[in-house]
Amino acid sequence: MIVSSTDLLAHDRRTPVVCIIGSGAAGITLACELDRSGVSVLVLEAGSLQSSTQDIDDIRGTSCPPHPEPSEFRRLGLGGTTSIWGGRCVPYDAIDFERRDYVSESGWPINYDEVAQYYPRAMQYCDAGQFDFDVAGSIAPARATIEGFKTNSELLTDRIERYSLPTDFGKRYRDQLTRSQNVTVLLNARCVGLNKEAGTDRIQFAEYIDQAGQRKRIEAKLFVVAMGGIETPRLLFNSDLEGNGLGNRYDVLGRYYACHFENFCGKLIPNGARVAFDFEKTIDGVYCRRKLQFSADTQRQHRLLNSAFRLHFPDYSDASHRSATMSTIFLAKSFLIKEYQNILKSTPFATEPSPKTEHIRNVLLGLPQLAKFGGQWLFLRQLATRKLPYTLVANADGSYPLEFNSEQTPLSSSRITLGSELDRHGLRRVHIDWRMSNEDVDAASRAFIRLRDVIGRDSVCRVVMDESQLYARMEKSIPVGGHHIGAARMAATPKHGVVDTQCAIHGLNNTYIASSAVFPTSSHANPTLTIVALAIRLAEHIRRVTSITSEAV
Amino acid sequence: MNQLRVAVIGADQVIGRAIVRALASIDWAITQVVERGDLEAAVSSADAVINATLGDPKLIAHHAQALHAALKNTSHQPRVVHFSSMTVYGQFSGKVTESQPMSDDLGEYSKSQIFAERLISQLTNTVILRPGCEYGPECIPWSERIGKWLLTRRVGDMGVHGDGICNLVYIDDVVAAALRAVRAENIGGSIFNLAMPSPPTWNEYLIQYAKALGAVPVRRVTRRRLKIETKVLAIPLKIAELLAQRAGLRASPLPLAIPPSFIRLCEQEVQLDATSVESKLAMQWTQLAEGLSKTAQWLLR
Repeated sequence: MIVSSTDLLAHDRRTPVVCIIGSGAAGITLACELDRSGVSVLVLEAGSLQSSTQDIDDIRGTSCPPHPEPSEFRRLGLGGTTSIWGGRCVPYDAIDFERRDYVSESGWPINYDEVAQYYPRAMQYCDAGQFDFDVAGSIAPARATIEGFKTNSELLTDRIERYSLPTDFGKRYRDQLTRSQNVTVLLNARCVGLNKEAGTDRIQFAEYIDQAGQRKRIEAKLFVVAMGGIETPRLLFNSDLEGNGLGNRYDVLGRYYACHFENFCGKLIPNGARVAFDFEKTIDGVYCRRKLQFSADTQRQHRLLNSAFRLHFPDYSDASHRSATMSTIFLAKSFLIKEYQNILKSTPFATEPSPKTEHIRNVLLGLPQLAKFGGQWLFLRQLATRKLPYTLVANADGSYPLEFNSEQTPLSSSRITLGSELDRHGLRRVHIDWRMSNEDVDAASRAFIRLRDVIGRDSVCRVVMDESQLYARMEKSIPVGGHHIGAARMAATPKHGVVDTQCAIHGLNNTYIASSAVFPTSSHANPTLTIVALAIRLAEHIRRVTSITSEAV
Repeated sequence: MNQLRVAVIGADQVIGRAIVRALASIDWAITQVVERGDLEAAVSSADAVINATLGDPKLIAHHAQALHAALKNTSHQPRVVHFSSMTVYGQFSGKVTESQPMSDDLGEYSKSQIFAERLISQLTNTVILRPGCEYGPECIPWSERIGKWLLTRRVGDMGVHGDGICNLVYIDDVVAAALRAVRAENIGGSIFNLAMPSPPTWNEYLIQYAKALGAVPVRRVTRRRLKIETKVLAIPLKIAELLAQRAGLRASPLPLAIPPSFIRLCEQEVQLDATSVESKLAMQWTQLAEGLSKTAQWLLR
């Protein structure tokens, strides 16, 4: 059932087996999985059914530019940030789990297969179709990404990214949670601390503040912190203000914070070749898009980070694109939510905006195109359950700007700490000092050059860019909003991480983390799918430790 | 080898037909198709009786009564393999074994199945089979009907409405279970669930079946669309179907109705536990991909 924290009746106050803190992608997946196994679960959700401005204030903090203000790209409430996510679903690659000598602090203490086995089910939770990211298995009829481009072992051109509806987990799984006899979701219950039992290595109770401002406690056999990649270290720090923070004996908590970094540079120019640029539908009805990626061998050989290139659309603000649609979006940007306004403003390749008159001219001259776009926007986006992820408008000159998205080298100096300011519940707010390393800039620059060289070997297309400006441009890369990774990383020993291979917090025997905060490396993949896969894996582990067989449905 | 005389009731229906075909190709059985009216005579000389009556609740009850009447007071007690259904579990949620009490809260069909099971279980030497959703060539409800809905994009990925568990069992596996139940020793009085292990969700089944049929890209069916189908269109389409039957047409010229009960089933999180039949009758199951491939070939023939 789902109830407000002030409406929980006395007879429903049974001690649950598992207390989950947070009802985002991880918390809801975990709750649904445990529900099917008959495990009694209580979920503490700080927000309500819908996000409010007060919720937003609870997660504000400070950050060093270019990292967004911490409340951006995050939401409290049932479903958490899935209420605003874009829906891109991409699994991690096997190389992301490897210890690579050219990427310091890389490697997971578990291997790819230990996560990959849960991806098919995670795809179901995300409504993203089958676990198949090859063009051949996913699209029919399948055509080449770049017509006539010869396949080679260096550059993978047959890979896709799939898109969720995007599924708002709060709406999608609300009925199941409401009907559930095993799961109780407590709304407006802000967890403010996890308290250890004196003289033991276990958490005795979670403390929360209910809607009426009353401080209350929940005892449970096991606790799972299923908050986002920023709120997770925040709670662990706030739970142990006298010490270093839970699981932080060796000063690892909050460090190695990564987002993906992105940039735009150069253009792919097909020499008359047809290019698969737009969104397509897979055979199982899911929107997908092509990407270009270096093979694992090439990454190792050339000491590259795992990254992806996508063919992009021109800068909205530059009216020379001659697109009525893009000019309309540019002119209407004040209607977009703040996060998307900021994307338009902070895109590193953005040039000085063209005068508004030029954009208005584009709009007036392109009314038929605009009408078509309006129809698409209405029927494929606003009214559709499976929404077209976003609008793609090809450049009028036939070239495709290149978008680059990369993993970051784990960096201990890139970190989340607590500031001195308190929120209304008395929790200290966060300060985020996100950093890129020189290795990141160097690897990104080399990736562009490699791409130009590999593509240039074929006559069907070429990549052009200003190599003299490349490094300087890569230095201006920006973090991808909403991807908060690594600040409570997984490691075999407490000296190197906050959680162990089962996502249990080092030094505590009954508390786990289900969050992108535990990812030791960031890949180039959006984190949600892997968050869900790890939550399913954790559910299986919890079933084992609570002696409830996974066969029980 | 001693041959067994096997009488088959319901041989004009999909499972009965498939059993008769299978019996014809094996050397240990002589098949006797039970026609209407000759049930008593047929079972009196049979070594085994397979009651594969499906569909019409009245017919299910009638055949069970007739079988019960024919065998209750005789010393001749052939092995009776009786087909029931998972509907005897009613609206139960969770994993269900054969010991789960029966519940008739799914309407007339489940009531008649429970009535029939109770009668048959009064006989000695019976084996009751409770299949889930039989799929495969000729299986009308779960293969032909759904296949047609998929081909016309009226069902597909149903989102939250397709999260329930689809307890599929391939028609060949149903037949294999019945034939093994005829000959197996020391299983008199047993009840077996029949369903593949690790069943898919309904969404998985619908999407994989659509892919096998080439009905792609699979459509995401909205809640609004399902409401229109089940609450607005279902009744007139069903009436058209019945009128077409009365008029002697092979099929209604209009699309097949999608009943509300189908959506309820697709939401139901009940999983048949078939471990008992796996151990007692050494059952092995057809892989879903293989079963769907054969089914799609049949439907598209």
